[in-house]
Amino acid sequence: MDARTELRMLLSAYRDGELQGAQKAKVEAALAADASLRAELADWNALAGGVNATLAQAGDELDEQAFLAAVKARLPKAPAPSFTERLAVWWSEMVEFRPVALASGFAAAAVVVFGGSLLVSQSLAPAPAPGGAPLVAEKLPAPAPAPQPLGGGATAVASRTPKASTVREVKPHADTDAVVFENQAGASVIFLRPTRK
Amino acid sequence: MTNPLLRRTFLALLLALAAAPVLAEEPAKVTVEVNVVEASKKDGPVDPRVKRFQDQLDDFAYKSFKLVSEEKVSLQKGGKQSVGLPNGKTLTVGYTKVDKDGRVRLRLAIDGVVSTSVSLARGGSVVLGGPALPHGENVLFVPVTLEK
Repeated sequence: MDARTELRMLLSAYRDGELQGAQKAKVEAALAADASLRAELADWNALAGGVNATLAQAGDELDEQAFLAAVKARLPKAPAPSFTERLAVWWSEMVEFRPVALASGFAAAAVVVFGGSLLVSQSLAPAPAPGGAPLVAEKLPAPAPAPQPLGGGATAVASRTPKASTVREVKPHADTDAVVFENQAGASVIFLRPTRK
Repeated sequence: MTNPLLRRTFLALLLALAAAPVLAEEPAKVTVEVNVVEASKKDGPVDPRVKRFQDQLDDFAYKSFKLVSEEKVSLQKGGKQSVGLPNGKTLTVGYTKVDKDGRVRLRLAIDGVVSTSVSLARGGSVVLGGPALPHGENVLFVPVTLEK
């Protein structure tokens, strides 16, 4: 290999920044002295620039979305997680990362359920007998074996809801006793009989 | 609560609780069936048409029952109608209102005997028992039933 050929081989490495020390100094000295060698380096640079530009243009023209879609289509499809699996993930995340929010949610739900039950039970309870007739609690759930006057002639029944009937108020006339019975099915009987003298 | 499904379920539960009292229907008109049953302490047959009130009648010391009459009365809210009884008395049935739990409030009155207010569910009944007949020891039981 003659000196010229060796310089030309080193020129490519020099252009790529791969030379150091004596070899680099040797090439630089040759370039300074040899115009044809400088012209050859310029050709190398021009060629490299052209290649880079071509690759960049090819990259710009690549349809990345279509490429990704094609790759994705070839991947095996994982089954969608079931509701219980998603629920389990949500639950574990709530427990781990948001325990305070979870506890607050349960507390609020308990308040709503308890308060709602209380409101519903209150709204279903019978109103007290207005005026006159006293409200007398009745024995439940066993049926009455025989009529037992509760005195005074007027009775009404305490609540056990929901049921088929509720006696709200009883106003017997002066010479009549009234006794209210309720059987196990929640049906009521108002038994009337003349007042015992 | 980040899960949308659970959040919607929770909201639906709240709405259902809030709407429950509003959903209680208030019919403008109800039909009430008034049966008049004569009861005796003597052994005798039980009218098969009275069987459906047997649970309410069993608690008393009467052994035979006979259906004397049955009548259906249609009542407008705030209205009342009268039904004659075999003892010469009159039973007046009035439709007062609908309770919060959806049961119908009726006022029942037998002139000179009793006045009462009852709440009945659909198909529920209350029995007015004991008014004596003019002759003998038999008494009347008057089941009042709100039609379904």
